[in-house]
Amino acid sequence: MRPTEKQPDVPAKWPSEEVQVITFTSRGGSAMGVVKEVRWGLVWRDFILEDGRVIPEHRILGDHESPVWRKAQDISQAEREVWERRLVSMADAGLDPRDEEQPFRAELNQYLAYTYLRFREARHEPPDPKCK
Amino acid sequence: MGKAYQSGEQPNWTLLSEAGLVDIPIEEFLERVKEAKKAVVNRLGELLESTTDIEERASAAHSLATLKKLEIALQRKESSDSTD
Repeated sequence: MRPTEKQPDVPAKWPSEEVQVITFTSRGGSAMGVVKEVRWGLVWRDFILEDGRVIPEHRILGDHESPVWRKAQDISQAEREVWERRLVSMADAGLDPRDEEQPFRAELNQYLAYTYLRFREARHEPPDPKCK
Repeated sequence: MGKAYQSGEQPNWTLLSEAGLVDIPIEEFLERVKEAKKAVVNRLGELLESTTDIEERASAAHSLATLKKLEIALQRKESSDSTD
């Protein structure tokens, strides 16, 4: 299993490199899969399985560390724009977010969650005292 | 959901869960894109009233363009599926 790239602001000790099989909630109940890679998204980590399915960390069952999420303000403009370009190209290619556990759905879900947090936080920021 | 979160452990969990954005139901993606667009438009309106925040304004405009493209692509997909 290829571990997630390190994010300096978010500690993540789980999963250890030995963990390869996960059980997770799926539409029909629970399911299992072999992990190929763990990847940070804009909010949470996604577990990419060997068969191509993408499982968000919060759907993984079992006794492990609580998932840690990134803060919207920690995402750089460059990272956001790369994510946005990838989403648009997947949409233009005709991918369908209604396809369960597929990359387009996973990335669009994270982008919409991130966008909600980003603009919610922006609206709730206290006024900058320097701007008086 | 596979994991129970203790209160305060993951503050964004509650926010996103209440907004229905943790696991977006299959049939709701287009609607959620429209809602996100509305939120960005509102924020852009606020930013246009301010003489500062030019960078954030540009960044919000870029995100709005992305959401518009996604909306068009999803609408196209839905309409082609309904004619099949």
